[in-house]
Amino acid sequence: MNKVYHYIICFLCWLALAISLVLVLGVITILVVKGIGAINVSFITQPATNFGKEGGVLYQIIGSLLMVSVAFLLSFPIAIAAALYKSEYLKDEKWQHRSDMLLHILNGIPSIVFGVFALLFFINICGAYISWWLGSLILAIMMLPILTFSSYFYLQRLSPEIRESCLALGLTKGQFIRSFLLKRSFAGAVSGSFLGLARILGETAPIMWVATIFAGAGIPSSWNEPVATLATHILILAQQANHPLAVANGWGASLILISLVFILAAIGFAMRRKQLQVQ
Amino acid sequence: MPSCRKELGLKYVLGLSFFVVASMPIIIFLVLLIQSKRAFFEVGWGLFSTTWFPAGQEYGILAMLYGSLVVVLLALSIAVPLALFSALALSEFIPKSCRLVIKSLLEILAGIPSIIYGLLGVVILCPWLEQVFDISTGRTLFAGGLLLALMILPMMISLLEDVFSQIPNEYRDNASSLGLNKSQTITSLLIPISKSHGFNIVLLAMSKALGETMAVMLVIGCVDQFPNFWLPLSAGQTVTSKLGRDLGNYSFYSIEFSVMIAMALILLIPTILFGFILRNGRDIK
Repeated sequence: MNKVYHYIICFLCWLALAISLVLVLGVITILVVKGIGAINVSFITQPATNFGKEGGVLYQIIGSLLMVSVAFLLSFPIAIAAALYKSEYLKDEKWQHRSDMLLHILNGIPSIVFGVFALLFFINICGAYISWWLGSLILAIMMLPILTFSSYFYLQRLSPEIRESCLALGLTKGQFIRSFLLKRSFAGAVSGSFLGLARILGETAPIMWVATIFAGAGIPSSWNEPVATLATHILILAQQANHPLAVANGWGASLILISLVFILAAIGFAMRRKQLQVQ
Repeated sequence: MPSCRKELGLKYVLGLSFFVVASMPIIIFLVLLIQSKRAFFEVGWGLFSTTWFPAGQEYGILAMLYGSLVVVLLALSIAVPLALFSALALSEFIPKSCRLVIKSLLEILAGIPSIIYGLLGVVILCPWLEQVFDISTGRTLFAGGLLLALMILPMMISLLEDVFSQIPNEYRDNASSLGLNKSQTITSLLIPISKSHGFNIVLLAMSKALGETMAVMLVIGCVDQFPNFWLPLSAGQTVTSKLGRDLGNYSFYSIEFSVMIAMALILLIPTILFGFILRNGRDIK
């Protein structure tokens, strides 16, 4: 009886693993094979025409990169400062817990809620126009918890000897932060920011009402202009799913987006692994 | 003293940034709450009716809530057993070198943006469902559930495997010296030990699934009615797909807009609960 039970459990484990692997490999194969079939030089260097059914995704790539880089510039200094405060000044146990909780909540808010908030707050309450920097702003808010946590945990891994010897040298807290901790929190936030960028690069829901238009976007020449991003472009193409040209271009845009996400995530993970080795 | 002022200045600058970050979720919550005031006061219990028909002053959101519930339960009932047994196989039966390869594949899959899963769903899953079940359109609640299961599966396997492989090997050695074979070790040792972590992982997957928008929106069919047939093989609507599809169509200050904001507020509830459950400072991915 035990034997039968044993075989059943083993069988279930292997079966589940086989199913999962087939799904995983299937998805990756489909994305790579179909994507490569659609990508060529002109796909990357041409703007889209005819609602994306023809032409390439040049402006979408530029729009995506522009939006996430500005988001990064906005959220990076704030996250570092917040991490320094949380690690050096916030000594109350209760407030540590509360701020952890708030950051976890901010990190877990569904992306569509960020979109709703952006539409309400920026467009309805503040009266701004649909423009790409609003997208950067909301994406920067989405990145904040990842960057703050990553910077904070790297600061926490600092060995107490270093802290003590700095203070024994007569540095005040402010001097210690400026001369030593700032650099360290910087390093922690950089590895986190690659992971954060990998996450926000593929976001569609937060920006689709406040920052993008669906056709005719070019390279923005001023602040108050909408752009197109890869993710919103894929959305338009997916909505024309019965048109073979649109689907083919959708696969191409998907593969480019995945490659960008993957490169960012790989850099982030490599940097984090290196940081975990160094004390 | 100038240096003292500098010290204080630094503290206040850092403190201000910290305040901005920590108050962000509260600001978001309050803005949504204030804007959905009209929905709560003017529609009130009318929110809990099954008809969504703004032209006839009916603002029932039960159909969307039902859609979300069905889709999430479907996804969890497929993904949880699959992820549990896959993670057990990965941590107990597979050699370590192989495990690393599979885990990095899972990480890749977990990082794919949801809009790309939506494209997969529209182009591959829905036509496939049409053929299998011989229905006119594959865009159904069932398709949404399947796609969500696929989306949360890699994350769940990866996290569950972490839990299992963090259990020290001495436990396994002790179990086998007591005469337990591998499957008995699994059912009487590994699963009971990791129960609470596993529960947290399921909660995390659930809140991810509940808030997923783009992929679900593309495959769900987007019909604002309570499915009149009990099987999920009919088109429906979830809270997120309703928001994603229609929020831009209603004018600010209208009641239907306010009701939509109230639905976004409902989406926040599991996130907040989850924040309370999981507040011990664990690293987030």
